Amino acid sequence: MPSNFAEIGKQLQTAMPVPEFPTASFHNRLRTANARHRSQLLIMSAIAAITILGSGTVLAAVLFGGVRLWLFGDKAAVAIHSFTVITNPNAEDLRRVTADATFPVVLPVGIPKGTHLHNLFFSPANHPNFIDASYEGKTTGASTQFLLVDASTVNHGEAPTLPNGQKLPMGQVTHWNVGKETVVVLGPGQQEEVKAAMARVTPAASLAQTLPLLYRITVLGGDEKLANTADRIAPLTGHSTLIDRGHLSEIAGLAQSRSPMTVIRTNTIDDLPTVGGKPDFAHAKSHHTMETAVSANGVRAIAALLATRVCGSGGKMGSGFTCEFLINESSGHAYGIWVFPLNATTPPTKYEVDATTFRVTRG
Amino acid sequence: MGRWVPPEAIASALSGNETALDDLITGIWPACFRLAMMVTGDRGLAEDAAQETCVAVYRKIRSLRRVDAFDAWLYRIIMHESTRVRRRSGNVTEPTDHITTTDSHITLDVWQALGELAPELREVTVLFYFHDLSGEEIADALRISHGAVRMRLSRARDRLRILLGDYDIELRTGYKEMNYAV
Repeated sequence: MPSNFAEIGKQLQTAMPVPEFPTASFHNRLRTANARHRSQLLIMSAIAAITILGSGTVLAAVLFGGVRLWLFGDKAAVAIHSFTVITNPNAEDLRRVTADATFPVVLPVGIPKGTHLHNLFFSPANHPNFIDASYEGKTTGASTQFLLVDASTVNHGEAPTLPNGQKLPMGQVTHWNVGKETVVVLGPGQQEEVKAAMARVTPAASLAQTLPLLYRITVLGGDEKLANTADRIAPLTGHSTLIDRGHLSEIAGLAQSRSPMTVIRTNTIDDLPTVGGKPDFAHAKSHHTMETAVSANGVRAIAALLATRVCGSGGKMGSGFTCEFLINESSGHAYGIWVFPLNATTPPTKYEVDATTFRVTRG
Repeated sequence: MGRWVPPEAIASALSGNETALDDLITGIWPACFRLAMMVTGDRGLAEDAAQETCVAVYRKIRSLRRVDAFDAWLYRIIMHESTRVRRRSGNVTEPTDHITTTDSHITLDVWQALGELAPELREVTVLFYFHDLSGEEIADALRISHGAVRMRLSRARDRLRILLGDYDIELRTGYKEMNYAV
């Protein structure tokens, strides 16, 4: 028997029984961590462009609350303290936000085809007087952000000096008014067509023209080209969700626990503190809305299809799948699932999975 | 390097090979659990910390630039997660789980003595004596100064001498042997 403390400890450690690797629990934890990370990234990307206007914006926001805008010539400053972000907003989201706003919202029109409204950032949450609509179209090269603000809340003149003596920084913008709305675009003007088009439409017409720029499907990862294709082929009825490989790796654990696949699309930051003038997301007070992207039975249908190895084995952790899925949950009898190989040149294959027996057939 | 898994396994996972990453996670699991168990003294907390460590490795390994940085990186993660789960549970300091009943008295007493140490002393003890980490490596793993490592280790040693006084047990003190200059 050794009398050396280190040797005894090492023996003790080596002899310690180790539980089996907890695959299901690991996947649950991985899913939670990924969801938290994604939602933080989305918030950061939503706020990033606005804070370009000045690094002191968030610091100033603490004093003013919500989101405040100052305009002075072609310069603007924005202070952000609390806000809500909806990622990949759907028609219902857009209708609700514009209807609840404190001003008749004229949404940007004349946006190039193939562009999507991918983020809706607004404040306050219940009755927004500030809406930031971000459009992106990697395939069209378009990426624009419009701030739509209740004109009666805009502060005109130089941004205030903060109690710490710091002047709220201002950045270059292009801005104009439409009805009771002030429209602000970051950077120097190149939005003459949009400006002219917005002057000619009613709020309702602008909403109608914006609806086609929203995804009908729920997009859980996947690249834009694939999302566009999936959105095009998804049935008009029922709920459809595009699931990338990262999310597919969660299916086994979810199916085992009979759980649905959830998504966080809506995040609200109630209080965003700053460290050194920069947003401190780690200590932000926030809450989010968890939505069901795929029902528990839909998850089981996907698991049944994955079990047929149409998408590779996935490996021990389920991370080795070779395709992405679009699932439609329109009928109570069967789930329609389109399998997109990672090789984008190959067309998707459709399968049907019986909602009761989970038997898989080629659709 | 290569304390946890062979360097080739790390290199393969770093290169984006998904199967290799799966193998890496299941490969590091036993050692992660054992270290967390030694540090937390509780099986439930150890499982929790080891799982969180595996999740962090799975999600962030691609941010690692070099294979030879893996060991230090993993020590940092597991010590961080062990501390986090322990604090969340209300600072369990005494071992709540016993090792196998066939163990000798001295082994059981070492385990018991370890549990008597304050968590911050137990951490440096486990890393120094049972994992053969140098002072620099411990400082890096725990994100504390070299001075703090030396002080904690000295306090741990004093306490262990009292707790294990009945045994003629050898407690290595060799900072200099470990090439550790403070």
